[in-house]
Amino acid sequence: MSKNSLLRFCYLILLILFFFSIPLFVKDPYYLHVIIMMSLYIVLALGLRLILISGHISIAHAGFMGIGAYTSALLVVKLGFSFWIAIFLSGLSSAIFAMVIGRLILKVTGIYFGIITMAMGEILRLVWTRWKDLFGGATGILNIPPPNPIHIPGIVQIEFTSKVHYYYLALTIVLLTIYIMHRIDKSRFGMTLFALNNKELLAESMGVNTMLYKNIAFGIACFFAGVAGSFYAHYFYYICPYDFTFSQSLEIILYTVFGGVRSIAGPIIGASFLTVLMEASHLAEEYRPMIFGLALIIVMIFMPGGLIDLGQRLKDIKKVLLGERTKG
Amino acid sequence: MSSTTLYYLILNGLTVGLIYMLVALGLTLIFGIMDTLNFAHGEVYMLGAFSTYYFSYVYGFNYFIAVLFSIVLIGLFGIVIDRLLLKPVKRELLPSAIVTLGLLMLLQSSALICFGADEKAIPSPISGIVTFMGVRISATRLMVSLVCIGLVVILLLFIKFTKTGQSMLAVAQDREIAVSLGINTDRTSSLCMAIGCALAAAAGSLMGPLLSVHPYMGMSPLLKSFIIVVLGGLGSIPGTVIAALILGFVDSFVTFFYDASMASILGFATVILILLVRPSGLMGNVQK
Amino acid sequence: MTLLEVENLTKHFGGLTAVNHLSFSVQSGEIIGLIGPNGAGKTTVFNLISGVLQPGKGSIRFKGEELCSLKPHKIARKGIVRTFQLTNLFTDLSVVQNVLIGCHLKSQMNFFKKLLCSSSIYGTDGDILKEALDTIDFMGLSDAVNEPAGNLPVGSQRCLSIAMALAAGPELILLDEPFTGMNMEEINVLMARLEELVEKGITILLVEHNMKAVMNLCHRIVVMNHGKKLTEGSPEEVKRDRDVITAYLGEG
Repeated sequence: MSKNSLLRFCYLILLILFFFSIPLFVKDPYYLHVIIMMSLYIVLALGLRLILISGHISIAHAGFMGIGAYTSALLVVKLGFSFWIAIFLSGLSSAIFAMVIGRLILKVTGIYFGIITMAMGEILRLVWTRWKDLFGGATGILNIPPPNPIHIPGIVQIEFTSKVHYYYLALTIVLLTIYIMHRIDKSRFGMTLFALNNKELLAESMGVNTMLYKNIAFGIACFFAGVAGSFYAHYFYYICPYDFTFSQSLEIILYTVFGGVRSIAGPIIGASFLTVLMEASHLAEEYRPMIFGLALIIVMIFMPGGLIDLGQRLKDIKKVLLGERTKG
Repeated sequence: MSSTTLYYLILNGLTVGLIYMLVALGLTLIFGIMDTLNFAHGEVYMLGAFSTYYFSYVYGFNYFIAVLFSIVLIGLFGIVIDRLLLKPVKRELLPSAIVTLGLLMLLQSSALICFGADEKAIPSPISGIVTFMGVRISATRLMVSLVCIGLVVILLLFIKFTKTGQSMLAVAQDREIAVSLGINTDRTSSLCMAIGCALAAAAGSLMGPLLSVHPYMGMSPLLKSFIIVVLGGLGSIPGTVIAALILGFVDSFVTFFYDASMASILGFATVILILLVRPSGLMGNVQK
Repeated sequence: MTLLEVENLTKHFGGLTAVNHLSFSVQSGEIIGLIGPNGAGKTTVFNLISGVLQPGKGSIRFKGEELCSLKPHKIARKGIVRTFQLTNLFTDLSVVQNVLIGCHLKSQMNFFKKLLCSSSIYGTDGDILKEALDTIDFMGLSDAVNEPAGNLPVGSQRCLSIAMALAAGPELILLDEPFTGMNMEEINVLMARLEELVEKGITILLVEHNMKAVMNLCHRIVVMNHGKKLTEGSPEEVKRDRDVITAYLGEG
């Protein structure tokens, strides 16, 4: 490994260690909650990014999160499954649903796809509201239990009784997600996916089965959404159809796009930044969509590359100011 | 089911379908000519309703004058949206979709804060029951339907018979050729956006006397008009007309037999199914 | 051997007939030129052969096999690859990444490796990378291997799109106006390279407006006008054909 990447690797390890050690000196559960929400949004945003870079816009990502949430809640509450199996099955159910639907709707162009996802999100919400016996209707599902205790005799005994436990669970999930997304991004699949944006015909004429690739990306994205949903259900102990609507899907789009979608760092930084911003500003509920809307507009017009692009531009400005030549 | 009920359901479906049609036509124009998906379309509809509410109820103007004002006002707002929001992102598909999504959130929450969440009502200029083709129907519904039809006719005449309308059609068919013919696509886009928003505002104003006016009233028409536009084929006017009527009827009949949410579910599901069979909608251009 | 056989190919767009009962064939090892005034239907023919459009009537046979209802990626798999006039590069990716995507069909990795293997460069097995670099070298782009494709000058971009098509290992390449935007020197270089390709066994079907290149390069020329075949023959025959001259002069 070159010196540079060794250095970067060390920074990464230090960062991870830092996050793992936070509960040792931060005792206020509110801050842990903020980082948990940040992790949740990062997982969602990284998934949506995969869909966006292949050239489609999904306005149903919250809906897929909901599929995971409802699957997990039902498996645990009604069928007595262990959370640890349920979370995996939730991701799976969301992914399978996505890929079955995807096979049918991905053949339409990106915008049709967006509209259909919008309709699907609505259908999901209506279905969850209307079938009261199964899904609890508008009131949703209550009393969802926390994750089952982890029992390894002699070594470890974890019961999910405080925020700290959820914190570590969320941290593990988000780090795993980031790692997997990183691998995918740098892989041949990731590169090909990137090429599909707007240029499907070109890729097709080189033998890429674009339909298959888009569908797999869609499936992977929704798998992680489902996992996030499952965590959500067992963290808040309560879910209802209004948690997974069009509005939330729009929020997820903002969190994904804000930091830039070129690299996986974009959604990570963007989602973190926005979560902190939202929590720190103590804004009343009704002002949030307005700020979100403005933020979306400003980002798209002035920083289409996202926050990362802004970072690069600031660097360029700095260079000009210092009299150096800018690159490109 | 008695024939009266049947006629009622049909007429009801027609009225609902006509209002959807107005909203959807605006959307399909914007997509067909500008290749832009206007997610804020529902909010424009809502603004039209509020504008008419303020002009007619609060400031006391005649209802029809209020509607006219609103149409013009929101039409101008459409130009602002185009120049301020869409032009900077070069009116590309994905960025403009996201920008209009942002606008949706901005307008909806601003409306909530400015106007309050409570429902308002626009009093209808006419009242009473009228017997139309053997069925008793409220005069308001009849008026709304006739105005809708009138506006659609005006729109079609405009597109077919005016030079501006023809150039809009040209841009819709092939942007590159239109540019080489010297058609100012910038101006065409702004005009198109103006007309599209004006239509949505008209629909909102007309819906006002029938249903209540509140900041969230734009969500349902947004979804429904997207469904209609996609079903009819993005950019196809005849397709939109037919699809709007179909959805109006489905809504009317299914709500009668089940309930409103079932109607929505079936409506959306049907559209998705039809799209799978015919990916470009009922009348869409397959190549697009 | 007859590699490609186009028979009675017809395509309507609404009221417009873009291609009208077109028939011609391509023998393996040839360079065939497809020429005609603007709007003659040449790019539409390419779109039909490569599967982007479905014909209304007629048939397209490649090595005896009917191509009509296949999707573009399956046609590429059969051995026909094309370039595009516009949208011909993945502008955000580097030159080598572009060519690697061209190598898509050659990659031997199983799916999961393709998905998660980021250890090698661009997740590609070493052999493919070497082949890609060889192709880049053949087209003279070795200096720009890691440049974003969008930054290249026009001539190089066209060479890159040909490199990408080559990377897919086709038997028949459809080139859509490859010489556009090139200067004299680049044209001569490209002509030499195309001739080399034919010696290596690749057949070329070429749409081009640059008459000098067409006349010097092609073994045979098919002339189209208004969707129909006007005439067909050797460059000499076509140069002297009255109808061809009228078609070009008449269009002003």
